[in-house]
Amino acid sequence: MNIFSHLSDRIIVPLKIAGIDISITNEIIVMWVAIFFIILFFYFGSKKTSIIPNRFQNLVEMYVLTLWENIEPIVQSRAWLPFFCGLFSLILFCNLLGGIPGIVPPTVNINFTATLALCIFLITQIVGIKQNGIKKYFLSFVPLDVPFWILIFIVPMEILSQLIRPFSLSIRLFANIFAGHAVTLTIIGLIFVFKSYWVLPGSLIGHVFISAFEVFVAFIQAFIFTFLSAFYIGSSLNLEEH
Amino acid sequence: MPRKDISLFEGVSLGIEIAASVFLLSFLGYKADRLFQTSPWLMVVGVVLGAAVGMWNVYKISVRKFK
Repeated sequence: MNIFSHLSDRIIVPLKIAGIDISITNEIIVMWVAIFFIILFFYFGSKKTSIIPNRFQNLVEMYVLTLWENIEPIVQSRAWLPFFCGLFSLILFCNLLGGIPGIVPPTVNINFTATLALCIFLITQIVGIKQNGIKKYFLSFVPLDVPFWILIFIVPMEILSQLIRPFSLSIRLFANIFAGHAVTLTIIGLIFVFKSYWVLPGSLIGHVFISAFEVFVAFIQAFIFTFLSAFYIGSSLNLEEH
Repeated sequence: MPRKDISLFEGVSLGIEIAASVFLLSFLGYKADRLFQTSPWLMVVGVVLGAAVGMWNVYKISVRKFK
């Protein structure tokens, strides 16, 4: 039995439009559930706001402000708050839902993380060109005060490093979440491999510790993805500072 | 947050930055090798270029961090 089959996606509703497979999988449903929880979280957090906030309003305010305190120095514009708050919440809620036994979060699927990273890459380029103009934006790939013969090496590397960004962004999130679930499944799988009661306590204690660590990883990885996205977008928005 | 600390989280993931660039470019080199029947040269070029791009990224992040 391959225990990693638990981490693969399963088609719930087969769907094909114009020859393109857009079937609804279990991971897509988990993503919808995560979006539903995000809507509930922010709806009830901002429903009856008061100057003296209740506990839930306090939690939502702390959540948004902590995120914004870290993102604001990079993008330097309040207009980006909903975007990054939404991005962070989507990844975080998906990751946290993965902690429930039997639920496969979409973040263990490279397609999900790659799509997010590709969107960030496109937004970075579009926003950079729109803000600075196409000439100034592409000239920013050429470092100043560098001899011409070094530019022959530096400019292609600069372009390649731009192209590699979405790849490293998607791999980072996918690998961390997948590895956490793989370790959890492996530790539980030891019970079935050894078929002994003696392995049970070790496996269960290990599972508890790894699961607790997974909650921490869920927050950290959501934050790193959002932070790096903000950094990339901020870099293309404010070229003179980088 | 002070400007200097902004690249803290970027620094945390420096390893993946190098690994990702080496992996991606060597994979592209491998595919190009199979296409043009030049095995293993384009993959070697991909590995070297990937390592160079990875190190360049690390250099840029380090300069920004310790400026």
